[in-house]
Amino acid sequence: MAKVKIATEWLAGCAGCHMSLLDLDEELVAILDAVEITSSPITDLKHPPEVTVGIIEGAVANTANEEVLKELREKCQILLAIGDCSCFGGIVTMRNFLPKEEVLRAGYVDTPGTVDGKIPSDPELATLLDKVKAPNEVVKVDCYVPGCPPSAAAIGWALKELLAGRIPAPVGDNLRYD
Amino acid sequence: MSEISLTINGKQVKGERGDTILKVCERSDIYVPTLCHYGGVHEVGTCRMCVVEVQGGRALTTACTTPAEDGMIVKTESDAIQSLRRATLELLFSERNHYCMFCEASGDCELQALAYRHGMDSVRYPNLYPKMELDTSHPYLALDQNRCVLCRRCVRVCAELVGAHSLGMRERGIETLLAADGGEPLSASSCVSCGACVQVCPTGALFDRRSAYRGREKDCTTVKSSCPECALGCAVELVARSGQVLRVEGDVESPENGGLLCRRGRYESLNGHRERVLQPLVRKGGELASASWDEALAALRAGIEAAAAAGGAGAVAAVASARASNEALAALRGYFQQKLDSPNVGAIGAAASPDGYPAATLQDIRQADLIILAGEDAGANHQVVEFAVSQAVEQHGAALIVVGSAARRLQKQACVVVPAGSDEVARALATLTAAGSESLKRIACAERAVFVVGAPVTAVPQALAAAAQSARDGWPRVLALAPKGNSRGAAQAGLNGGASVAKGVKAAFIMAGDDTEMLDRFLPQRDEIGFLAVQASYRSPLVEMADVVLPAPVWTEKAGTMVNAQGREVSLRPAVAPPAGVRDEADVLAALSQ
Ligand code: SF4
Ligand code: SF4
Ligand code: SF4
Ligand code: SF4
Repeated sequence: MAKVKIATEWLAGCAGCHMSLLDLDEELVAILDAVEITSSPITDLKHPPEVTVGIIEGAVANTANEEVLKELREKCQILLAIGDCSCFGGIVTMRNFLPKEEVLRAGYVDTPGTVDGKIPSDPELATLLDKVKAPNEVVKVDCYVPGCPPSAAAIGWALKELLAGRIPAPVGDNLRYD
Repeated sequence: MSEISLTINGKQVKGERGDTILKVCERSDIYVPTLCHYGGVHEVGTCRMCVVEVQGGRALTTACTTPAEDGMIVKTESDAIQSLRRATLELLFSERNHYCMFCEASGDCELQALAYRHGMDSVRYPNLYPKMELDTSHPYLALDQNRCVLCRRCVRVCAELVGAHSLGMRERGIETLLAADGGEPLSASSCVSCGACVQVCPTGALFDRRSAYRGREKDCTTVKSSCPECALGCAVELVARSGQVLRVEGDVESPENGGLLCRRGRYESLNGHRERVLQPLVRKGGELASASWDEALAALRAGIEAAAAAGGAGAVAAVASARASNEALAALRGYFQQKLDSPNVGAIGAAASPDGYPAATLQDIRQADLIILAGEDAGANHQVVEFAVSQAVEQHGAALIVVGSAARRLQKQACVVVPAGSDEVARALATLTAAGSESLKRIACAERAVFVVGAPVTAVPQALAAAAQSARDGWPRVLALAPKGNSRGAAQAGLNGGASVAKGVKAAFIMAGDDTEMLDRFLPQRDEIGFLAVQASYRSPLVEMADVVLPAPVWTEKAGTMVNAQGREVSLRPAVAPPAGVRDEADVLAALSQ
C-alpha cells in the first residue's frame, strides 16, 4: 500500500508541538511505516508537495505565516491543527493586547543589551499583522488537537484516526488546553 | 408538599411542587451541565449551559429557572441542545482571555471541564482580546477579570450567604465587569475577607493568593477538620500538599457553616511565618539550649516536683489554652490534678454554657424570627454568626435587637439598638423587658427567638427568657459565644477560666500549643513564678524566658476532639505531620503521669 503523505508547517509557535510529535519516539517509527513525512521543519524541505494530510503548529502572526498556511491548505486534503496556537490562537496572541508598533520596538529596540537597534524593514521580509489570528480565521481547518503542547499520545492518536480514514475529534485525555 | 411527576429523557421521575426542572433532575441523578448555578443562592440563569427542551415550549429553556410542572415532558440531551451548549462555551471563551496553559485554575476549572465535556476543540468566533485588569490589592485573594465568566456566583454568595454585599456588576452587555463596591480595589472595599467568593468561583477569576500555583486538587490531599479559632468550631477542609497546608476551605457539607468561614478561620489560622519551636529546650547555665525529649521531661518533672515537695501541691500550677483538645486537657489533669493534686489547674478561655435553654445552632439562627444579640460584637469575633444573623434578617425577614456593640452592618439591620458599653450591657439588656417597650412586644410574639450572648453576658436574664417563652416548645434558644475552640470542653472538664497563676505558685506549666496570644498574658507574672515550663508551637517572648520548653504541634497537625459552643463534639484531624522532634501534647503529658 502506498504511504500516506503528510506535510507539517510551523507558523507562529514555539516548536513545542513539533517536539511533542517527536516525543512519540518508537511509536513514530511504527507510524512511519504507513506515513511519509514530506516537507516539515524537521526535514527542512521548504514547499510542500501535494499531500493527504497537512499539519500545522502555531498561529498566524505575520504575512509569511499567512502565505505558508494558504499554500499548505491548497496542497493538502485534510488540514489538522495541533496545539492551542493553531486551534485557538494560543499564547502568541498575548501580543494582541499591545499595539503592533510597541511590540516591534520592544523586540528590536528596547531589548536590554540592544545598542542602536532598528526595526527591520525590507520588501523581502514578512511584516507583522495587526493582530495574531487563529488559523481558522484565515483558512478552513478540518480537525484540531489542542494542548500546549498536546501530548505525544494525543497527536499519535489523531494520526492513527486519520490513517483509519476518520476525522479525529478528540475527547477525554486527548482533549486538553494546557 | 405535593409530589409532581415529569417525563425526562423518556423516564418517569418525581419532583416536588416548587422545584425547578434542574432540581428535579438533581433529585433523579440526571446530569445537566451548569456553570452559574450554585446551591444555596438564588438562580439567575445567566450562563445558559443548562438549556433543555420542554415539549410544547417555544425554544430551549434554562432548567435552573424554569419551574417544573406536573406532566412536563423534558429532554436534557439532543443535537440541538448539544450544539447550543457548545456555542455558548465558545462564546464564553472568545469573550475574555482564557490562557489555560498558565492559568491558576487549569485542571480544577469548571469552565474548562465543561468545554472538555462538550468536545470543544476549536472556537468558531474570533476572540475579542479585551484588555482586562488584575486586582492584587487584597492580601488573601486576587481577582483576574481575564478569566471571569460573569456567572455572579461570587456576587450572590457575598450578598445572600455572607451578607456583605461587597460585590456587584458594573457597566452593561459585553462591557460588564465584576466590581467591589462599584469599582474599588478589593482591599479598599467593604469586603470582610471571608473568602467565600473564592471558594465558589468556577474559574480562575478569583483565587487564593497563598495557594495559587501550588497544586491542583488531584495533587493535593483534603482532610476534614474543625476550626479552633473560636467556639463555633466551623467544619473545614484542609488542603495540603508535600507536607504543607495550602489553604483552609469551608466544608460545604456542614449543615452549620455550610462552607462559610471567617477571615480568622480561613486565612489567619495558617500563619506560616512565625518561628516554630522545633525541639525541646532546657535552660542550662542561664541559656536555653537544645535537649532530648528525655532530658526535657526529666527537667520538667524535677522542677515541678521539687516545688511540690517544698511548698505542697498548692505551689504548683498548670494552665492550658482552651484551644487544647479534650485529650490534651485530660492528660494535663491526669498529671497535675490526679497525680500531684494541684488545686491550680485552669484553662484560659474556658466557658460553660448557660443553663436552662437549648443551645442555638447556626441553622436555628438562620430560621429564627427574632434574634437578640447582646454583649460581645459577634461580627468582630464570630463573623460566621454575623453571616447567619444577616441571612435571617435579610433573606427571611427576622427581627433583630442589638444590645451593646455590634458590627455596623448589624446595627443597620436591627430594628432596635440599645447602645451600651461593656459594663452596662447587663443593665441595658434588662431594660428590654420594661413594660410597654417595643422590644417586649416583639419578644412576646416571637415564635423562634434566639439569644446570641457574648462577654460580658454569660446568661440570659430570667425576665427576658420568660418573655420569650413562646408557644413553641424548645424555644427560645441561646448561643453563648466563647473565645476558643474548646472553651466548652475545658469548662466541662472542670477547668476554670484561670486567667492568671495564683499567688504563691513556685512552679508553673503552661500548655499554650499554637495559642501564642495566651502566652503573652503571663509575661508580667514571669518573675513571680520560679520554675516555668511551656509547651508551645511558636517562639515568643515568654518561651525565651522559660526553663523548659516542649515543642507542640499546630492545629493542622493534630488529632483530637473539642466541644463547640453548642455542646457538640467536633474533631481535629491532622492534614500534615508535625515537624520531626515535635510530639503530641497529650502523649507527652500522659507519659509524665506514668
Ligand atoms: S501550543 Fe503551546 S507548545 Fe504548541 S506552539 Fe503554541 S505555545 Fe508552543
Ligand atoms: S479560567 Fe478555566 S478556561 Fe479560563 S484559562 Fe483558566 S483554566 Fe482555562
Ligand atoms: S471575601 Fe467574602 S466579603 Fe469579601 S468579596 Fe468575597 S465573599 Fe464578599
Ligand atoms: S469572579 Fe468567578 S464567581 Fe465571580 S462572576 Fe466571575 S467567574 Fe463568576
